[in-house]
Amino acid sequence: MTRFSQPSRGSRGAVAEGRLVVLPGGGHRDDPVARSQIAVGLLLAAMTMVFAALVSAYLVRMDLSDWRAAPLPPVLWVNTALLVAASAALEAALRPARAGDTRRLSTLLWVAGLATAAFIVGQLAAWFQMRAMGYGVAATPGASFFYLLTLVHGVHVLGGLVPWVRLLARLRSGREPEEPGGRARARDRDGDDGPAGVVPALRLCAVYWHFLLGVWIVLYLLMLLT
Amino acid sequence: MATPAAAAHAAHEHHEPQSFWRKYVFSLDHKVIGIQYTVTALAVGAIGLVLSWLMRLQLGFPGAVGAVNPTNYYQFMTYHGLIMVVYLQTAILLGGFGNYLIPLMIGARDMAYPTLNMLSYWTYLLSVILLLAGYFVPGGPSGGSWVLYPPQSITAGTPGSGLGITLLLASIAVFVVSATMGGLNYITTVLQMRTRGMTLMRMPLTVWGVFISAVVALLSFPPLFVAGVMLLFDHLLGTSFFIPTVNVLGTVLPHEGGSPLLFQHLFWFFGHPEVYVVILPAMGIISDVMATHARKPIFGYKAMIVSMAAIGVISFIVWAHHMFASGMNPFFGYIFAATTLVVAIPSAMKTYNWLLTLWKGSIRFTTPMLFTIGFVSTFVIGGLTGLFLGNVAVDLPLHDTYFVVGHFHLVMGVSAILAMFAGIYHWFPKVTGRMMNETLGKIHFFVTFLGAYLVFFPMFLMGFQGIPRRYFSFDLVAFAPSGLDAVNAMVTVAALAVGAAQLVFVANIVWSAVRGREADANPWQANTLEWQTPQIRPGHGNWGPKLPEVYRWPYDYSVPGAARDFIPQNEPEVAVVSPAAGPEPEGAGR
Repeated sequence: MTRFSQPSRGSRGAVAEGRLVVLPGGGHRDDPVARSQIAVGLLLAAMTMVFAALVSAYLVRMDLSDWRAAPLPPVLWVNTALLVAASAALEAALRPARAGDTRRLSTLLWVAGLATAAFIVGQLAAWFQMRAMGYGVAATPGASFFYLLTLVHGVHVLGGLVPWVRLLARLRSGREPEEPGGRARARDRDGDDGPAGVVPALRLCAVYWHFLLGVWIVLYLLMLLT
Repeated sequence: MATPAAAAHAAHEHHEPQSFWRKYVFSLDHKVIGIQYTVTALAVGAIGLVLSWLMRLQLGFPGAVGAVNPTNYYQFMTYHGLIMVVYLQTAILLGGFGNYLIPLMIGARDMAYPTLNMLSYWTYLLSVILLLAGYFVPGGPSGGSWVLYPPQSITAGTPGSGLGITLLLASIAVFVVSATMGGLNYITTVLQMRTRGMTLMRMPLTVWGVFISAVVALLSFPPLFVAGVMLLFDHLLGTSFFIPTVNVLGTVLPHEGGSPLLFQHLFWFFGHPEVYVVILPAMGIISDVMATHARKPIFGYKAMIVSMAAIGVISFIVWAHHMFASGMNPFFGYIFAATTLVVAIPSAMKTYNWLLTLWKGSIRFTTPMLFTIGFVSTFVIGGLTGLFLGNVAVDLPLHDTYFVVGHFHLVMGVSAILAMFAGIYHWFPKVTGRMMNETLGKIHFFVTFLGAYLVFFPMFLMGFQGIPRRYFSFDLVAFAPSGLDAVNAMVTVAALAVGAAQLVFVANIVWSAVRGREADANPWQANTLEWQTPQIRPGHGNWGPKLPEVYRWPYDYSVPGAARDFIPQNEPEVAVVSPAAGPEPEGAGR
């Protein structure tokens, strides 16, 4: 019997009357909120790598002999302000969301969405201004990077509008979203799926916007200062 | 399987999709998606295999196949490389095995995000279609080599430098999007969806391998995406990110001042981690298959995890060893040589652990086990030759020779493919409910394994002789030794034999899926959860009404005193042979 005094590795065990009894331990309760937080965190990590690669390419290219920067269109200041406003509106929306003030919440959501849409339009305007100033995509390396960076950043901002629309839809219907595919998965787990109300999703939306605002400020400063 | 199946079915009837399209085509079920990934990847892989035959025929018997010319030789080389590394290996090991096995092995009903999972597959399929579309556009597919170095990849004179390279870059960008969606899913699932009792340190090594690989992929693919988009800008919009001033036959191109080296840095920042993205799940599969068929706990379970994590981390600081020959500050070369050689330490840990797992095991020489042992062999030979190439001074003369071809084919080409075969033979009964034919499987193994050595081992010797790689023909290579033609012919014959063996494999899969011997619930007597499902072929939701609970790690094989030589992870109590009646098991007193 002594050989069972140490249960097999990774197990919590006890010996009882000639039988090795191992108690279950550890493991996870699936939590939809934590799940989304992890997924958004991973997404931001991957996006960080995208922009890190772009910034390092910019820094390397900048050091080469033929580097010529391009003047930046002034509308970018307006666009930056719009993106700050969108980010702030989402952050501000958290308070009414927690308080259950649906009216105020949806107003702030619309402010954030419209400011974001205006940012995209503003970035497009910036492209046209650049062209009008005589700086097409291939004019100078600095101009090429301007188009590249704003394009990649803008696409990610546009992508953010997908969860934004879903948030609005959820608010309008007033219902929890169904589990994907309507399956029984999480419900079977101890019968406790935890209601994923609007707050966690809103917070993740806000984090995504803050992240892209931060990225934009870094990119803008990079182009302004070089 | 009628009763439990019926019960499980009843429990999930409300949620199971009924229509053919939702069930088998646009399915959200991780098992169906895993099979879709596997079948698609194997189909593309077959194209990659045929391309290698065409190249080998030209090298072994120059001119014998009149249709092969320098132009399409380079197109074959480009597509063979990209297909095998990206569209076959990455897709099958992460998308195929990862999808099928993760939820089953950790006791979940499905992935964390089934819809995202389905999108990941369809995006992957789109990338494959874009890739193959290269063959149907004017100018044909790109011949810019799988590393896509500018300026030649987008400059006139290189095959497919028009629409071909555009499609190829678009395909790669789409693939990165697909891999990111998949990676998000695998990581979140492993972190969040484990069943009760399944702690991280009780996960099978396959899950660990896919998990670490997904993390590496998530962080290393974005730079490739960026490089691809920038190259598309250079190609389509005339920017000069990577393209310096180029004079093509007297015509000066509009580009100026770009840095081809910048592309190489971005590419290899992806490219090196990519080989670990492929090999880490392979290592996990090998560990699980080996422990099961050797009836022994894996040796050094924690060391296996630590070494996989170490390989994952180090993979991000070695990329420039692919660029020694491109020229760099000697100090950089020194740093990157050092980091590269450090990879040998965790790799050697793993190899010793595998050997010690085999040591005194009750090895069952089944087909999956043969492939597993074959993997250890090719991984060692391929890995050790990597130590040669990791040294700057040795790499420079060898870099553009066949030595490099032999090295990477053995260490990540053949090894990962052997692991893939081990996995397919091992889990085929789970997927289809039928066993694969052992005789055909052994023919497949021996021809593939011995053939692979006949193909790639001579390449090391050719490399030492300075035979350059990438050449269409050696007619004009003055220093080629006289025996080169005979060696090349032998290699080609071996390559064709290996190719024929893959036809045996395909025949075996098809025949066994239809007519194979029906499998038991747990034909290999394995401990991991996927073999403990209520149905042999797990139904929708995998587990019936109640999820399994886990009480132990997955490697309780040959536990001294236990009545059976395996104790499944979800088994709370172990029947014990009474000390008086039972024979004293070997090693019990250690």
